[in-house]
Amino acid sequence: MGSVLEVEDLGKHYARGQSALQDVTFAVEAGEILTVLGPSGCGKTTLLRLIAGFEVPDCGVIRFGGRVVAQRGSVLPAEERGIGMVFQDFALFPHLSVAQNIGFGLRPSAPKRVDELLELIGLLPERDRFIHQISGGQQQRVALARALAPAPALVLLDEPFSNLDLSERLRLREEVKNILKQTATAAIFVTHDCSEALSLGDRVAVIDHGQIQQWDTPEQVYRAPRNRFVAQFIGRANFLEARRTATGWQTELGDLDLDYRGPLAQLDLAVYPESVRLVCDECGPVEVRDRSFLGRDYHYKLRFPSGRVWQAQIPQNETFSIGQRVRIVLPKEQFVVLGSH
Amino acid sequence: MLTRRKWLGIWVAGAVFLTGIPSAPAQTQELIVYSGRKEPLVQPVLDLFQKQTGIRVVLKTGDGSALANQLSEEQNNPQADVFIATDAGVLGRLGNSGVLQPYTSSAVQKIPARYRGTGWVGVTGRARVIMYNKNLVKENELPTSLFDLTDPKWKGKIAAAGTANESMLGQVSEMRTALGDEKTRDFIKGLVANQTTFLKGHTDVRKAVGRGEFPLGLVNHYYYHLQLAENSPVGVIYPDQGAGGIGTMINVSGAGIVKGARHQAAAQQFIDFLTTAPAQQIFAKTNYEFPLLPGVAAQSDVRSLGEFKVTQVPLSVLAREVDASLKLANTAGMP
Amino acid sequence: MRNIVEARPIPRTAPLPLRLAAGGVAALLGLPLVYLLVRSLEADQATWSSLFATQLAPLLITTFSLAVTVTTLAVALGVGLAFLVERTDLPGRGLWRVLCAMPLVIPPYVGAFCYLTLLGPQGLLEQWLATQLGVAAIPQVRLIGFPAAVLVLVLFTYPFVYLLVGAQLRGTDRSLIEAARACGQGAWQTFWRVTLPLMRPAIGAGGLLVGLYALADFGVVSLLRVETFTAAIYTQLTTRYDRSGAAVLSAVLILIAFMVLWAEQRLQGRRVAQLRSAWRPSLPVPLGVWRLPALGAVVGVLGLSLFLPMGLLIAWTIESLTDESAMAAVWTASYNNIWSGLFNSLGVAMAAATIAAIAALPVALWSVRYPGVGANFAYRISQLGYALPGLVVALSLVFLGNRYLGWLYGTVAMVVIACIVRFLPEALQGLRSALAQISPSLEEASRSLGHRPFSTWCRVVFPLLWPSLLAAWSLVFLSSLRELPATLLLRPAGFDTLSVRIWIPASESIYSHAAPAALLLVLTSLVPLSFLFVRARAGEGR
Repeated sequence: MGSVLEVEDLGKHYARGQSALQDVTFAVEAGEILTVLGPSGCGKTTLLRLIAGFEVPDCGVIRFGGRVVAQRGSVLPAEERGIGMVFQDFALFPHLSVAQNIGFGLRPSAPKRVDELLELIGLLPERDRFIHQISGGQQQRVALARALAPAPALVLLDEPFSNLDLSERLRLREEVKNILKQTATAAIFVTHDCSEALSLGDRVAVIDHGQIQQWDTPEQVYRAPRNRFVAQFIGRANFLEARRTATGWQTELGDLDLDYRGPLAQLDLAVYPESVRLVCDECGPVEVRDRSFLGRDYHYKLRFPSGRVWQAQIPQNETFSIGQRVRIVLPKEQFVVLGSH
Repeated sequence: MLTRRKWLGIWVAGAVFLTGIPSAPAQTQELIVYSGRKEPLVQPVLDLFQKQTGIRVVLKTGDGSALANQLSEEQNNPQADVFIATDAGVLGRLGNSGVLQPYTSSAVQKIPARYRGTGWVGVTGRARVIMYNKNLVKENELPTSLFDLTDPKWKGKIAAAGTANESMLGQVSEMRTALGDEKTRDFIKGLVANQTTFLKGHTDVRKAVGRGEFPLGLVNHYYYHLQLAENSPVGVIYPDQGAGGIGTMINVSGAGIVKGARHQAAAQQFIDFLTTAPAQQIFAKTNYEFPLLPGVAAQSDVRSLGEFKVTQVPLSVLAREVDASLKLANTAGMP
Repeated sequence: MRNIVEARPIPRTAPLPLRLAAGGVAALLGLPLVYLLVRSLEADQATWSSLFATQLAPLLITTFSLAVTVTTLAVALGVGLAFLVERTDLPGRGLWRVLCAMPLVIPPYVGAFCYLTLLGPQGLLEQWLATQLGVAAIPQVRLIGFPAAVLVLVLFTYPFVYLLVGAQLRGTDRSLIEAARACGQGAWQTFWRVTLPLMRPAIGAGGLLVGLYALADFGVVSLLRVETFTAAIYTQLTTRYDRSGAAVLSAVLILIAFMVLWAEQRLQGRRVAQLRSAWRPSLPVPLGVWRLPALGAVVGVLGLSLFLPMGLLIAWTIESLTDESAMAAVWTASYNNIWSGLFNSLGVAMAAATIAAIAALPVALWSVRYPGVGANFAYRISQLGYALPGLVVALSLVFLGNRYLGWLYGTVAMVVIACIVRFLPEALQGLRSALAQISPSLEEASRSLGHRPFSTWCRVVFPLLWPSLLAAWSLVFLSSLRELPATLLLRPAGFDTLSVRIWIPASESIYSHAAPAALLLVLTSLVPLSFLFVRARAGEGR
């Protein structure tokens, strides 16, 4: 399958000399869901608006369906691109009914298509209600249906669940994924929630400071984060530096044996909190500083002699008390070597 | 929802429709008159003119000086055809500055020359008189001269209009011309020292005297007749009639053609009409004024011109004295 | 809950046509005032120095003390009535709630004329008392000058405060009051520490409207003889032959207007945002033994501000129908009669409202959607008329019209332009806040669904803006209908509006000639006002 969307070296600068986006390159395959993950202000919304046609790039090229839709100085207006968009605030028209909203982009009007979509989102009984008469979750589904109505090859979703409460969010996540897959629509899904990004996306792009830090499958991003930012953002990772010695690797946790065959003499290691295991040891170097109960797990804060703080997530059947001294036990495969590929 | 929108739509449509109407061009011949005379006092004459000639008279009434100001402002872009004012000073000022255009005809020339000026002609006359409340003043105590009003025995008993009133200002100018600045200043200072109450206008003065709030009031003569018509116990004094007296001061209501008027012919026709007997009679009847056309009688109970001694000042001087008179009156304490 | 959030501006520059349109509107609105400033600078040194030496200080003192006194009292009255009607168990609240806003239909100059005729020097009351007591005059019962102007202005402007504060009180969440009580505050402490501070934005906005009205008022102060700036300007205009004096005084007023607008902008920045997520109406405060006195107070205020003037107008109108000369002068005169007055008033008001509502749109659009230095400047300039007396606007148009716009001068268009300059800001404010409520993402959604900008405007923005546009239209219509000073100065010959037909007889104290036009004006004002009122209540109910 070919790419629906190709973005090459895209850049956008704002007045204060700050760059909102820089050297952004990626592609979306037909029917694929790409989630774009990043902290607020990282440029992910700007990226979406550039693709939609609401902003003009300063450099780079956007190709949609094999056709250049934006490059420096010349852009195709949003209305001529045929890219659907679901807004963070839904942007449903308050003066129109549910059905009129969904049919807004259909010309000539096609009541059958509207009913089809209402069926798809399960809101056929609400077709003649006004937007303020339906719930937030229902509004979300209407917004999606409206974007899908003209059968675009690509839909952009800008943090579409941020206005909903948690249980609704989890339910809709599945539903939206199903609808997108059912209609075989490619989607770019912007979010700052990493479980959302990992569970929804066929691929994930992690953005920070206007640059793509990593673009890969969710599994790969989790297993092999490219840098500290990605590891921290995806899994709240703990970090450790290692230096090559004659026998292995020297770290604050003692000498380790790592599966690293590369040429570097110094390594950046990441360890996810859920990988950490603790053993009671009166003479252990690490002190338990803080504990909070999460139901299935306990969450601990651990303090190293150097002052370094780690997070650990331990099943609740092993309990440690605050002030207790412990030793960290880690099999070598739990150490993630950053930037190793 | 829809019905309300529809209803509002009709409103807006109506708005657009209605705004088109006032600008619809008038087909009949027009005459645009600015009048410092009050509407009820000028309307009957206009009605008659309209009936006789078929020319539609369009009237804008207002304060005389305000309209005079407007005419000066409009000098390069004249809007009016004719200006009617109740003061020779106002008329003369506009005539001298070229806002009014000189016009003469056989009809106009029948008005005595001392009641005409550059660009304007007097239509009716008004005398500056003292009116009194018969219940409050005895016949034998009455003042006979304006200067008697400065006598301390009238302290707090006089009502008059201030300098915002053209007739009052005209009187100051006439007095200055006849007697000089010194005596005029003394007269005004005397009025002020006597705690004369300066009211908004002559209507207030006549009503106050009529009700007995003040024994004496300084007004134009027809205010006395208007008050008398309301059955008030009022009397009138034509001052300074004695030997050596300067005579009663006269001012006129008059009219002039605006320079650059768009309806020249109609304006000339109108000025001529004002100086004919029928128009003069209407003025005499509606407002008790003296017709200036010789041979036309005043209202039966009004004295006619010639039956009393008149201050010998040509009214054309008023115009150039207005500013100086205003300054003098203000500095002497008249508001 | 409606799906509307406070708009976030799109950081782009406005399209050229929009900038041209908005800039053009701002220039047309600002030009006359700039010209007036220039003209006042042309006045010779002597005019300036003599005015400054003799008139300026007393005028400033009178004008400001009038504005401050009126604003303070109107705020007290408006807040008190709003609290009684919205928050207590006052008997018949529903009725009083509507009636308390009604004095807004009576133009203050009509109120002044009623009180002057009734209580002024040689007014009806004094005449009646004098006849009863057999004396000539009783100056002690006269109501004239400063206190009279304060009374009249307060009675007929307090609804500005009342309406805004009432809306704020209705919108205050009960949980805030309950929170205060839970923190151990008594009823009075709650009022002072929570309710009153929450009302502050409404009080500020309402007080500003009242204060600006008092500064700009012409009719009331002229009738009741108070020497304020506007009265002095009018005197300069009507009795002096040099207009530079009026221009100089007007220039001072324009500077004051700049200051007021600047202060207003500062005030706006400090408005409190209230979250209305789970809104519940407040419970009424029981008045206890004070129920009847409170009712008496409400009825008393309404008696003075509504029942008495309306009663007088109706009585005098009937009198005019029975009196032959009044009948001839008012009702059946060949022209300049009351019907042509009504017709002219409606024509001017409709034209001004329509043009102002349309012209305000580009300025509002520019300043809301593309904020920046240019947009802000255009917005501020367009707002200037808001703080300026009609007399000053008219004067500037007289100067400008005669020198450069001869073909336009002396036509009805001048009156319409004056109304637009003065009242467009009213439309602008409403449209601005309406536009700010329409999220830009709605427009973007439409674009992403294949609609071009024009189609987006027609199908999304306009339908959402339509009610606000009509509200703006009604507001300008209402204000233009009662406009007096500019109409007085600029009307062409033969073109008298209702307000002129009120003013001319009223200034000559012929009340039976003025009353019919006043009554007609009040009744006509009811139409747009009731629309605004219904809309305001509907908006709150959502």
